[in-house]
Amino acid sequence: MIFKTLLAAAAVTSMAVPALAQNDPIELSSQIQLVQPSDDGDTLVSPDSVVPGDTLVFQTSYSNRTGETVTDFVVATPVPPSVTLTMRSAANLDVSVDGGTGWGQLADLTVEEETETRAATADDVTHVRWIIAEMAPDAEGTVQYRAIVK
Amino acid sequence: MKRIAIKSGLLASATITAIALPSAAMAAGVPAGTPIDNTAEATYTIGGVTETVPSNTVTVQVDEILDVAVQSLDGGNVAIDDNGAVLTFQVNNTGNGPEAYEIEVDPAIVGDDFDPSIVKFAYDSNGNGVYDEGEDTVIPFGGSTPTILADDSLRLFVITELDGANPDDQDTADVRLTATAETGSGDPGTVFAGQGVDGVDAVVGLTTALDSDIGTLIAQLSAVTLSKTAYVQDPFGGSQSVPGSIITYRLTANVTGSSSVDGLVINDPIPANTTYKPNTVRVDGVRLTDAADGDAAFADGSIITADLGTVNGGTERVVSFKVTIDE
Repeated sequence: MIFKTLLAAAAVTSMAVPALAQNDPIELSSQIQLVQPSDDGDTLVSPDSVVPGDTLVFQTSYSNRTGETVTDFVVATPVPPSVTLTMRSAANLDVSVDGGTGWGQLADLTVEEETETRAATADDVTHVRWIIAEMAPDAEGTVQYRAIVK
Repeated sequence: MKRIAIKSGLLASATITAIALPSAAMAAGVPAGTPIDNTAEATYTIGGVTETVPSNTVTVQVDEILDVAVQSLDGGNVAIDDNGAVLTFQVNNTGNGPEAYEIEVDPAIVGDDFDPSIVKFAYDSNGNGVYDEGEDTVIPFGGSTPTILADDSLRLFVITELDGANPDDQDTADVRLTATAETGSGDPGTVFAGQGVDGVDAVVGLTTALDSDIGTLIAQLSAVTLSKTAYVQDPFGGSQSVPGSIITYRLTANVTGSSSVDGLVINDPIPANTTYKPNTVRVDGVRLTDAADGDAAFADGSIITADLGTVNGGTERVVSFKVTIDE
């Protein structure tokens, strides 16, 4: 009870003092949606039931509630090993095939195997990231990739 | 109360999922119960300071797909005779979670020649690929396989007999083995809420979680017909049956059918008022000794015996011997 009160007090204080801006949130929220194909185009539904072969949309929503301009905003997310990026996501996004150390377009990346170096494929992607150079106060948006359950 | 709750959940999910199964090729895939996470981290610069912020983590679990494939492993028709025959099938769990399958065997298939009786069925519990009577575990009628892991398979044996069936040689009989996921079957996309591994939903896959295949038996039966002729030579160069005439008996054993006959023995007592002429037994024209020795024939004063052993279908064996009409 006492602890809770303290927290509330802290929140009030930070709002009042802009110098403590790092306590104001950059909000990140992750969701997973299921692609439900239909004749009229795909719709996204809550994934009540997910089976191999399904296409999922991995979304991350962000918002800048700091009251300031934020620069070099980079959202990075690991790709679960049980899914493979769709061709389109793999071709268009900034990806890593080595756990997030090296980044680039998939076509430019390679994978070291025991005896050879081969071109990276969508299945090799371990991480995806998005870079937003400058984000104004109260800017918000959603980044996403699509992947198929193996 | 509980039943109603499950049912309504079922219906609601089924409509969504039915359309969401895009690919038949994804047979097993990621194991049921596998978590799929989405979480992100953002780094940014604010006021010259680099900050990092994580997102929440959201997790969905892969549901269990119920699928099955059944295939006959017999390369062709399996011969059945009075000793019965064993049909071999394989049940493949093409789903993505462990599942047991109810087994049904139906010998009454329309369009074949006869219906064998199903003695029992068993699975290859010792894993050697062949049926071992008394060793491989019998699945009771109406029973199920043990749990088969995803992408794994189990070999089943169906033990059949002719029993009441009375087929002709070369008649065929189809026997269908059907495997149905114990959790449930139905239209693809049907959801059994919470009934998958680790409590995930179980979803019927494109195979409808039910499959069957047919094994075919072919009757290989044989029959023996025996005919006997007598040829009389009288002492005067004629063919009268008078004392002193010699009668040559000729026994023809004709084996028909596609199977062979084992242990074919021909016995013929020496007729009354005649006397066997020693060492006149011939089998297929070859003269044999009377003694009980290495050859196929035995004769004493009262009976001749020819042990022909195994005789293939479609062959004819001839046994002959001579007697003299008593004075």
